[in-house]
Amino acid sequence: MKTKKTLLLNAAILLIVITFNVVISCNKKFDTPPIYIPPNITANTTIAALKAVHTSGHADSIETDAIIAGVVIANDSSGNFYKQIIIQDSTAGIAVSIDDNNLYTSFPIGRKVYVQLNGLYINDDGGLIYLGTSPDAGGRLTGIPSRLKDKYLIKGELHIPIIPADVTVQDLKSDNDKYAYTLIRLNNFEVKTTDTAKTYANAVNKTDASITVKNCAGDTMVVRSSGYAAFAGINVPNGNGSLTAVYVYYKSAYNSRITPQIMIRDTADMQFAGTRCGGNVPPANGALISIKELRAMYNGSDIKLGAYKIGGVVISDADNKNVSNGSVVLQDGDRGISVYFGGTVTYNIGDSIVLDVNNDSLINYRGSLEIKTPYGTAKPTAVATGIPVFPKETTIQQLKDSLSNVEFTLVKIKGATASGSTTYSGSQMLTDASGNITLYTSPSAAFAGSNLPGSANDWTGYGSFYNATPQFQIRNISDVAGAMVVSPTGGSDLLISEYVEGSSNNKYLEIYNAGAAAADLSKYHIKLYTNGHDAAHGADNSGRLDSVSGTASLAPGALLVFSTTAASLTLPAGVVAYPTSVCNFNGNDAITLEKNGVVIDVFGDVGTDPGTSWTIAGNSKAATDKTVRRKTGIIQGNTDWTSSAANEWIVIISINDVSDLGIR
Amino acid sequence: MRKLLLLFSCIVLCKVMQAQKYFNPDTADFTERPDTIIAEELKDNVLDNIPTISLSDEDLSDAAAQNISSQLTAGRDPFYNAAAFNFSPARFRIRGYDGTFAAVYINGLPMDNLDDGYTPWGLWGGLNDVFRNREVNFGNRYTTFAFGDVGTNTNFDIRASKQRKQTSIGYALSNRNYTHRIILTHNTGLNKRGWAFSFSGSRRYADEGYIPGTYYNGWSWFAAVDKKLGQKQLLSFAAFAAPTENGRQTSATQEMMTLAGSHYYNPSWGYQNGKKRNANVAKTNQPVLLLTHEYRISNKTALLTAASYSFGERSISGIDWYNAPDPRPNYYRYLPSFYAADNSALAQQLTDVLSTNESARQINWNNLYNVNRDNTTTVDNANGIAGNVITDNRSFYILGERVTNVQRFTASTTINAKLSEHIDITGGISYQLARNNYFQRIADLLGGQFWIDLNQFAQRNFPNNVNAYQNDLNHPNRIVYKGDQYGYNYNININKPQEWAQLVFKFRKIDFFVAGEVSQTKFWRVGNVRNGLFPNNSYGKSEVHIFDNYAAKGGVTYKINGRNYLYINGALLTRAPYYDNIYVSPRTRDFVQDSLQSEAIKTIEGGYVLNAPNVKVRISGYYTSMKNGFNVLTFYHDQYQDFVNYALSHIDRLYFGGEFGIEAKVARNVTANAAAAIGRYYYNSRQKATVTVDNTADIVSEDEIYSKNYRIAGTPQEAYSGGITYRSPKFWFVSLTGNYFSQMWLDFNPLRRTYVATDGVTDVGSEKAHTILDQTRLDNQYTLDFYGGYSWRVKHTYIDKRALYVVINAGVNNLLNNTDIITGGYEQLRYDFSASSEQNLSRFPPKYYYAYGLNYFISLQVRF
Repeated sequence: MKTKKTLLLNAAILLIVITFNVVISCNKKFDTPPIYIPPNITANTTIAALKAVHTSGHADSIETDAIIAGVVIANDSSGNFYKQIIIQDSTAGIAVSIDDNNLYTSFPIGRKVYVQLNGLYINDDGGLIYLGTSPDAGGRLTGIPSRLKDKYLIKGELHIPIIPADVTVQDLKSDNDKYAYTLIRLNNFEVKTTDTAKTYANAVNKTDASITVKNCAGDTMVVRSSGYAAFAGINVPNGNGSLTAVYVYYKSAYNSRITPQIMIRDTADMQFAGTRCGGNVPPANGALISIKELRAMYNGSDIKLGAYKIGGVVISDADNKNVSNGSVVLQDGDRGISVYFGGTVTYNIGDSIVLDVNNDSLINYRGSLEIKTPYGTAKPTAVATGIPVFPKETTIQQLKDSLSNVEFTLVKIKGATASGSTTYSGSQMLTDASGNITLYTSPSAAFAGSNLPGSANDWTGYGSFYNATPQFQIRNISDVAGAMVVSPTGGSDLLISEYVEGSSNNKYLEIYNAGAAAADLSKYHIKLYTNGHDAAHGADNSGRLDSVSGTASLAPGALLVFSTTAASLTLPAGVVAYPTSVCNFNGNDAITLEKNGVVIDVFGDVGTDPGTSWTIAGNSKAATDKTVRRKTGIIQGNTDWTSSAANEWIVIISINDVSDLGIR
Repeated sequence: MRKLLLLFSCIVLCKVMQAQKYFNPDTADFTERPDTIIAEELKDNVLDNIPTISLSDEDLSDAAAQNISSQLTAGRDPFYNAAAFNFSPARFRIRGYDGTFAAVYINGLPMDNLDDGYTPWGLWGGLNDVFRNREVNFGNRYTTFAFGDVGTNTNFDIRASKQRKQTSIGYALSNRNYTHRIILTHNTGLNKRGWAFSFSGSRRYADEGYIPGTYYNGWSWFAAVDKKLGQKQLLSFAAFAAPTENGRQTSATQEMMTLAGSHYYNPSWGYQNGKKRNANVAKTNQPVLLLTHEYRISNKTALLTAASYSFGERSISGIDWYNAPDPRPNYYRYLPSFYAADNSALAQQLTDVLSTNESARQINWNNLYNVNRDNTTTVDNANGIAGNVITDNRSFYILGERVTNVQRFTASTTINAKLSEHIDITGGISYQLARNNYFQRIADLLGGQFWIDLNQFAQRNFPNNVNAYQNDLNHPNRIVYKGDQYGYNYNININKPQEWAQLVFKFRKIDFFVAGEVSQTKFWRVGNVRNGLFPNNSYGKSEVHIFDNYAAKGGVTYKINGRNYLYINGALLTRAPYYDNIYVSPRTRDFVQDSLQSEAIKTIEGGYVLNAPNVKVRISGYYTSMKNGFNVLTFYHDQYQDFVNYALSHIDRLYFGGEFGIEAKVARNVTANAAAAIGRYYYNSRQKATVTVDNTADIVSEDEIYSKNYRIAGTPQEAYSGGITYRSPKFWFVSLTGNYFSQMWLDFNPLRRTYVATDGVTDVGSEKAHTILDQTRLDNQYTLDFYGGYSWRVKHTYIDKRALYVVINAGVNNLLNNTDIITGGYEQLRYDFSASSEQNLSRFPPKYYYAYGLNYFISLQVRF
């Protein structure tokens, strides 16, 4: 009975608890404020009347209850105007200086604005009359502070259309004050030929720039744009048409000379799509242009491309991976360009593609021009495949001289020799009679591990810049004409062929020339890294083979034997051991064989201390009190000790066995 | 100097303190000692209703979302009592340690956040009735539930059978964070069949709190059941949550407070349709489910195993805007001081407007709606679909939420055994796992139709890079609506296994103990969006960071006699850094600070305790050093127009000081008490700052911070209190306490303490050098507090055969209505390097929070 009551009580409380949790989820929402209804105000004066009372160069305070009304014709929406709005009524236009950013949010173009003038100031800047608040020490009016905006500026109706006045350059020049800060339109204008490759302004250095526009009669006008404008980095349009803008002349303070200028609100103000005065048809929006024309649009800073298309043939080889991931190299005539798509590129050499570059960026990527597409841009399907591109024959010097023009085009360099490391991987050097250039192969290229051909060959590939350094890349191994693919199993160089770690000072090392040519011993070093050190400390632990042995070269198939200075075992007849402190090893030390500073073979793992001995062929005491011989099938050094130790050596379970030294 | 010498001698001579088992639920009798219990409940109430503050208005971390009543108290230690309670209005932190050094456990399970180390007190806010059984350990003494942290360690026992059999209904009235509180609690106790149930629910709310524009809407619920299995085992389940929403305060500069004529000026609200709407709203709802199993293997051995799962969400809202004027009413460019130097007339005009027109000092919601409605925007390639064009009212202002979605699993098992009469052994293992998802969400489009998920800062910095300004390259130009995710979105995964063991030896004259712990902390970031600026470092799993840590501690207590004790304890440990101090800008990328390592901590404490019937004394001293800490500070820099991150490393800290507490019966029924905490907390290394901005990978600068001997802020370094209490045999009491705080400092801006910041200052002794370099010190402060309570047993009234009690208690803090107590704030991180004029030095003045003036809390409870 009692338990029942308790249970009931418990259930009731649990219910309350649950209700608590349900109630919380129904929060009250705030009322949405009503849509703004402009107050009923009428202007009692005009902008022209207001401007008429202004004395040039003098900041006047306005102390009457005058109200003007104008419609916003320009604001800071694109960033071309800054901290001001331009309003215009049927009589004139004026700028209102406001100390705030993003004024366009409250003062969109087409909004009517009432200005309660009492308390404001009027002045001019280079002749252009504007409103603001009290002047600073230099007489310049301070913009209306954000918190005082509502006191002076009353927002009116939206979407009031403004029709720009169709004018000629002569009209503007003859009545500067009438047109100042009003919206005008010039018809049948185009960008002057010398300016057609320019952008509106310098978006990188954020500096202003002027573009000259002209009509077919030769009347010119300057379009001034701010480096902070959102469109500053955009290439100007190259056709002919109408130009809507705000007229803003500049009057010199020294000689009162007036420079007429206009400012656009956005690129839509420049409708230049028609045929130019000379009859040249500019590429229409979306028209195909050559890669050469596209490259010409680059003016020193990164730009955003307009509505154009380019076509080209793929000359890069995605499969062999000697091109950065996500990039493809296109050639069109005698110009080429790299296009970055991101993701995985599957184009084959010879694919012909047409690329819509609208909204893509044309950028300087580490010294070379690149088209960068928006992330996720679909890669266009090839319109044709197997289109051959014939490489242009060139010398290395010619390539370097003209590289900024011919980068990313296919060239052939004849009779050039590669040098540097054994393999392609990384930056090597390619030399012909005219000079040399960096031969770059990505470490992830399919052929990065192949050996460089030793002799002169013909090389096909393309040049580009890498941080101002010219470089040349082949696409795949067949780009090296006449070069056999050097098999990694073919013997080519010196290697460590025997290691003897005997009693007391009886330590020997044998080097074998597995190559087909005599080895220049001045290029080779052997080095000792003791007890897991990763540096071969001091001269004692490093020996140049020619100085240690006293001989300049080692014939193919010949051997050299080295030992400690106090080694005392009797060697097979005729075998001489050259003493070097590099042989002061005791089982847990690493030895490297280097050619031109590059490790080509190792015994042991540099930087690792195995304890007492390296483990070789499964024997954990193999390198101490033993003789270890390289298998005779091994004719190439191996810098990977793990694989070398596992596969390439025979351990002789006997101390002081030197019977095989000098023999292979 | 003399004071310092005294301090040193105190440290050398006495050495630190003793933790006590403050409250034993098995022996405490609620009816026998009503005054003490009422007093403790009162304290809980007061601390529960302390304001939630944000450490900084730019603060993006979720630590700020927490209520910072860091030390609930129950205790008889005369010092700890004062420190945890009387000093709390001044945000006193025991020994200067921040919240990451205090650990809280529930049924033996660690509860502190794995991401930032703070205790999520808000998870059980309002559940005071059922979170009363606890063990508090203070300092480095051993505990029976965990190895613990170097500060305070608290273990709550919330099992249903441990709750006193009772039903209570309570109502409280206050003028602090919330105005009203109702609590209902019903505990059945263990019945004959071995079942026990416990339920509690509470509602806390205020239409407007003490600070204008703040409000509170909290609900809490708790349900627990226990089943005894045989004589030896007890299985317990508990579930609780405290879904809470509160409108918060944002700090402000002195200039705004002067204009508003109040230290409680709050820039985070504005009128909307005549009602106050707060933009800075914290919401939290994170239920915790907890299963506990206790196994008394023998009289000498007990095994406690528990597992918990917690899930839910916390968020903080704020206005976000896209290429629109800054909507914050206290933005420095809107204020008179911005114009003062060049145009004083204009500054005066602004002063007039701002001081007379309240709405000019607050958010103009109507304007935000108007802007969103007045502009039609056309979006090309919307949602990344070529040719998809949307034309509509784009929101330039939205109310966004920074959300942390938490999933957390914790398990632990602890064994306590008596090896012999003299030796106790305790040990345990625990495993903690957290998967937190941090993202932004649209709470309100404010009259507009959509928002585009773009990064306006990157758009400004890289106008010609088509990809840079995408917040998510995998979904470019994404159109987002209310409730959608936007901006950043990443997970932090943290795993932490821990093992510990401890041996306690107890003899007639001497007790000693040793304890050790090993743990591993492993965390990594998983990006859910591909940021356009860092396409290769933002999406997917980052490198895993692993820290192996150890901790050891030990101590000796010498018992002079049954009443006088001397003790000394020490600890040596390493502590893994928290993720938010390691990732330089986790919102955009997975870059971490250089040379990651654990912080090395050494601490020693010692002291003397007298525990006589009429007098209790504690004198103690401590010395703690911490080396190689990390921190990341983030703020918006409007010159870079970007979020700037200061990644700080090589942070060494030093804490030392003395503590004193006394409680004595001075007359019949009258007790006097006094306490003092005198500490010195310093940064004692030159920190290294690497400055980066969110929107480029570039390192803006690398600076050495001349931070040696700057003070650690956030707490008074000296605090004193004295009080007197009268306890009537008729079950009522009154007490009056006075407190005094000094040596309070403001957290310093590291970049102001660099070589470049002092460029052009030739005379290091000049006033200008002092202006730049000196740390801001706050004025000394005092408060006077009153507490009283009465417990009335209603005669001849029984419910369910249990007597009926009516308990009333009241607390009035800051009786003298001192409204000048600065409790927090910070020097703004922004610094004008072109500091050629005095005006520039003060362009970014410190921001403050003030403690409440006179405030009260009255509660009435009926129990049976």
